[in-house]
Amino acid sequence: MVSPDTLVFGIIAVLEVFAAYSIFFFKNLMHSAIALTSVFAINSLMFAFLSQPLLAAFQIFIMIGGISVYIFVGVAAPGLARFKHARINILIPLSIVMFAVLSYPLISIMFASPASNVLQSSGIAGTFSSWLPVFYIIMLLLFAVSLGAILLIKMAKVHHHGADK
Amino acid sequence: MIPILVILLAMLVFAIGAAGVVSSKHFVMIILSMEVMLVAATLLAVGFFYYYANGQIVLLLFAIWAIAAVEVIALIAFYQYMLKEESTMDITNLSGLRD
Repeated sequence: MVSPDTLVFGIIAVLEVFAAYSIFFFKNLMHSAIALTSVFAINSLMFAFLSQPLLAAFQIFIMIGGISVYIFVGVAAPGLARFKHARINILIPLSIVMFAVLSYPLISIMFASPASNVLQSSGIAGTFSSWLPVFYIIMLLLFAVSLGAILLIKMAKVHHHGADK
Repeated sequence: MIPILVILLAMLVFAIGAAGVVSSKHFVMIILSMEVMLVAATLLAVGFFYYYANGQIVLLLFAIWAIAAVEVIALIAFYQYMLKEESTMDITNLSGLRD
């Protein structure tokens, strides 16, 4: 019988792996950047699931608030000419082989049970947990706003060029 | 939950990133793949933090986040330079940058 914890973990894990693969499936770099941002967001969800809400919030601040915005504004927004995406026929078998090689030493290793750690025992994490959904909602809203801003700028550029011609 | 699942997930995500580095020619895609590998590293660190309660792993996490940020800033610098010089983004032809 699968426990609810394992089920939730499985759903988050499938989403994360799907998002990680989809980076290489898109032909537009902007879509790949959105997929990478969703990997960051799902990873942050996984942190929250592992009862580390502070680290989950830091993940949102640094990876999505910083790195994703850099990628959007600095790399994806100017547009890519001559963009060649990854070779999917090599990517999928190679990732499976690498996973098998990496996980082979783990067979028959005993693991400890979850232990209480610094962030959990300090009391900060417990108080912070109830605020975490607010961070996720604000993250989604700001992310939608930044994407919308980039799209509006691109549309304005297209109209401007159209008016010039 | 079985502890090994977190480690296996981190290894799978790392393998996807590593395979992305090998199978991509475009250097922006290679940097994005490396970001995926760093995400897997943070996940592995948090997994160990959860199960072994070692406070020093938080420092490791901040180091990983700093590396990821620096990597993207370097990517933007190279990317803007290559756009300006109209250079190729194909890493197999990067020797053309000498000219």
